[in-house]
Amino acid sequence: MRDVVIAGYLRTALSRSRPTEPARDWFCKMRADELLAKLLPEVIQRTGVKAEEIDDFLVGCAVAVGEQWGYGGRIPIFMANLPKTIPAKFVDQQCGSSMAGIQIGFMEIAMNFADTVLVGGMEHMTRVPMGMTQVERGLISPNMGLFLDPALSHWDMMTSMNMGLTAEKLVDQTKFSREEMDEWGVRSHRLAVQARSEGFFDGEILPVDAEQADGSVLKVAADQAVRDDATIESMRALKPAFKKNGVITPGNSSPLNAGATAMVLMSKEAARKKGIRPLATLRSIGFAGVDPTIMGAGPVPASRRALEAAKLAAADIDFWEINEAFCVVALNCIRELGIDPEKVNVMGGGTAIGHALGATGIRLVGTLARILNARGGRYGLANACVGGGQGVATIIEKETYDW
Amino acid sequence: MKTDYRTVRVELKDGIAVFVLDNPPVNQLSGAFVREIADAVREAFNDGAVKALVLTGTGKTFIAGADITEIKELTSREEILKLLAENNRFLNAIETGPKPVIAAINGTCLGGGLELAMACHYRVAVKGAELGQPEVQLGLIPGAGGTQRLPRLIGLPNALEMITAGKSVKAEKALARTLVDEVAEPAALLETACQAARQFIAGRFSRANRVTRYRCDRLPSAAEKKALLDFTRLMTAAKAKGYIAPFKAIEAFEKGLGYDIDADLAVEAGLFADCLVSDVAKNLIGIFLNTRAAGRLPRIEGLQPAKIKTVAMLGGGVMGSGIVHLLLTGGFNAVLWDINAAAVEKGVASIRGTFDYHLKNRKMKPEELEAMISGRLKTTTSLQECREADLVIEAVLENMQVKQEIWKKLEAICRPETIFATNTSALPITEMASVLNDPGRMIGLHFFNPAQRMQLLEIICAQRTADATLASSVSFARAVKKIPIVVNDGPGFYVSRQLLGLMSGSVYLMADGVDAAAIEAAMVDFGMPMGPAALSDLTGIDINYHVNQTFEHRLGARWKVHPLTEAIYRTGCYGRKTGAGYMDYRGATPVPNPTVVEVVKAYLTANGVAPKQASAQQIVELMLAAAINEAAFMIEEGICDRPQDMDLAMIYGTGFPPYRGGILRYADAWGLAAVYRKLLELEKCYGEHFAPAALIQTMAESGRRFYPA
Repeated sequence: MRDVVIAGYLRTALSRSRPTEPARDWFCKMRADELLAKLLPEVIQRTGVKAEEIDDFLVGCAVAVGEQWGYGGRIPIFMANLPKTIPAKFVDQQCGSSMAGIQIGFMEIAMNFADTVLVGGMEHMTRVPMGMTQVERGLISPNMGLFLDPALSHWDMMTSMNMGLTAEKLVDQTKFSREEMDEWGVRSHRLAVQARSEGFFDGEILPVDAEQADGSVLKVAADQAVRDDATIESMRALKPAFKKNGVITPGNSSPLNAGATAMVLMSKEAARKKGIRPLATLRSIGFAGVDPTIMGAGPVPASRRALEAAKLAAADIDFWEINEAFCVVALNCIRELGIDPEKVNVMGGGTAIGHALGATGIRLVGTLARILNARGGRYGLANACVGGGQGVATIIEKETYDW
Repeated sequence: MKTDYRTVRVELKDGIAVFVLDNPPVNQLSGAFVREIADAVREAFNDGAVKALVLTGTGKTFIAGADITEIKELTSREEILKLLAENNRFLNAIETGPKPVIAAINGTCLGGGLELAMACHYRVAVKGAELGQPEVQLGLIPGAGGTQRLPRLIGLPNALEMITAGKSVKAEKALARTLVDEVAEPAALLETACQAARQFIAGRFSRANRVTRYRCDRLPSAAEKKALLDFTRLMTAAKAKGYIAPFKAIEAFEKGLGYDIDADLAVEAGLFADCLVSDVAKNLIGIFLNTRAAGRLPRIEGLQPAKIKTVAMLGGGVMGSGIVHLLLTGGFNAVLWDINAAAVEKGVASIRGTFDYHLKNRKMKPEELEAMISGRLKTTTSLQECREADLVIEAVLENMQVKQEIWKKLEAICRPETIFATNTSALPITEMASVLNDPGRMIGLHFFNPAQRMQLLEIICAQRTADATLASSVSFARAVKKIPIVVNDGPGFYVSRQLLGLMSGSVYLMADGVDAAAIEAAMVDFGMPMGPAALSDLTGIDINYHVNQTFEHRLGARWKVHPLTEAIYRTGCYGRKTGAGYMDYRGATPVPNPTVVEVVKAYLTANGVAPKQASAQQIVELMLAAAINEAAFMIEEGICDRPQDMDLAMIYGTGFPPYRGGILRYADAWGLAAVYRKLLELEKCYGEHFAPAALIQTMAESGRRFYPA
């Protein structure tokens, strides 16, 4: 197995999506494929590879219906005017989609079937909302037998397809308090604000000129959902979003977002030959299935598998990026794996930065690699829960690349 | 809840209020009708017993659009904007109202009808119903949210096609495009709509998710929109020269389709007003209304047309087979007669040929065609077989004697009430009828080639044609889906003479040194499908020459054959049929025919005429002045007396540009005094052909117009 490195990483800022108030989304007049098409040539150029040298392209997206249909991943390539010789795959593992892209690229390179792989992720939750609206419009039509057949009723699809309800159920089982989750949410915003003010994100965000609802053009260079004014008091005041007397609120879950992410993976030898200094080396990957009604539990077994495969213990990991689809997911992971919370989401997490479903996997791994570089540290683990009851995890290692 | 409306029947059952809209004849949205619907909806919203509303129409119409006769009376922008704002308030009230409203589209759903349906939360359409925004055909754009709601429902690419081209779709396609939510059989329509209403009431359908104004998932991105509209603008510029509305529609998409639909609706209203106050819209609306009224003549008012079931067609040539095509598709029994078995066989083959397009485009199955031909087409070489016919249409050799022979025989064979119609394009019908005992039964039915496609039917009354014969002929024209224009007998009747009149100026221009290509370009730019040279090449330079001779013979020196016409005729190049006329068609692309070019050059040299530049406007003015003059002569001679019919005939029969309204509309816009001055000037320059008709002089002097102001 060959060593595989992260040679480049770039993303757009994440705008905040509100399907019912589209005008407030900074990216309301841009499609996700347009955002991605802006990123791809730029990440290729900044990494220092030639587009012609790319052996494969993997693009992740969670709601690949309507305008996010990708023609097997070729549409972003065409939109970005990249060489026709780049093959593509469209990867759907829901919120794990672009991490799955990284994992497939990792294996292609590790097994010597490719030298350079481009990975992308995209999601626009204003223009292509998730959930019931798409079901009602027929763009998503799950088999009604799943909902109605007594032999299948134990899947409880009404809960399984509603992320908020799965989070409520996870809280029921884990007994985390509303207060603990709200505090984690405030922490997420505080750390993200701090990282932003230190200019940390400038190294990974490609500013994009975006036409606004009123026709003006805004240079979008920072994440729209990060709040400077998040306090525990304001969090406490929020009403439950998914059920009466529930505990999941907009303050302790990720917002809806739009954005795109991109990453270049290479074999270590190829990077060395070209004199490209990697961000980190991909060490291990993990994936696991869990009860879909508590999909937020998924990162725990997925991380364990990744750790086992790399013969590492949780304590060996210096920094964690745990996707805060809901704060309870991170809290549960910390408790189950015995993680030091101070090592988790140190630049803020999904609650603040956002979670543009299909784009998130690359954001987690890319940001983690940059954290290892910025803060010093050897191992990092990024994981995410996945709708439908899964978890994905990726372990990276910061090495010295002496070329 | 109030239920006694003049145009809305209300039925309340199980919490569902069904409103049956009934404003005969086709549920046009007049101001009064809209106010009643609005009242009824408001009452239902306020009535606690009503949980959901269903709107449906009557007969074969949901709503056929706005009442054009009302709309055309609006002249000031303020008035227009006020009406549109009121209408938008009505639709917004439905769209954002407290209760689900379901449109049960029972039939034709056009213009304002579709706009109403789109403001509803759920649409069920009956199979085969036609849905569309055809406003551009009237020089308008949708003015009640169509440009903003349709793209939100079906995406901009689909909406562009439906709005900028005015193309409607059938219910099945509307379903595929998600314009409607369900398609139902007629008998099941209301129940399907009520079923949907119950789903809303039970909370299984979300009204909030189905408010069209909040549906943004089909809106294009800024970059996408620009790419789409730039492209459409280019395509439209090529197709819709001279028209305004398609470009205003594009502008409505460009400036609209944002996230503040009320602002977008205001933009649409402004652009609608721009259209409505334009001459183009006035012309197109005039044409629309006149087309509807064509054939409704005082002369035949109240007359009961005869029931025509069986039609005999004499002659299976190009015209004959086209007419049989119409008979078969129109549900008539047809008898095709021709001179011998070979001719009959050829005729049938030719009839089949007219259906090639339908078969190729799967608009008809081969077995359907066979069933039609074996079931309703009888062929014969014996005139005796015409005895059952209610109408005989003759399109045999253009020879008076031959035709008269046939008619005399038929008079002995057919029932006395059978109508005798000739499709002659040149022979005097009054003379043809003179051999009959009852000349009142004879009439001219002048179809245009290809008969199955051209929309016009020129109906020519001979001197003694009976009113009953005319009434039945007009009704027949409608039955074969033609627009009937009634004129009186005279050389070339109306259309041929008017067209020749319109094109007649070109030879004078050429003889004056103006380049033929410049004349072609000017007329095409004016909007004609082709210029005089291309038209001559198509119809035949020899044919035109002979018609010109006939005109000279019957209409006098004004139509004297021009020496240059004579010289060109003498070359023997008669147009496409001989491979070359004004143009040479033998190569890959037509080029000017050197033979004709030489003849013109020789003529100019011989007469000491130097080449001359003429502007497109000069050319068009000369051509149109001659055309207007010819029209005036025809009115004086009693060939025709209805300007609206004359203009329609040119539009539907020759492709005169609709947005210009017609030759006489053009004359009115130009001003008769100016036309008169122009003709005097041309007469001085080019001679008698341009000598103004007395009618023009009278109109110029008295300030009269062809159309009421």
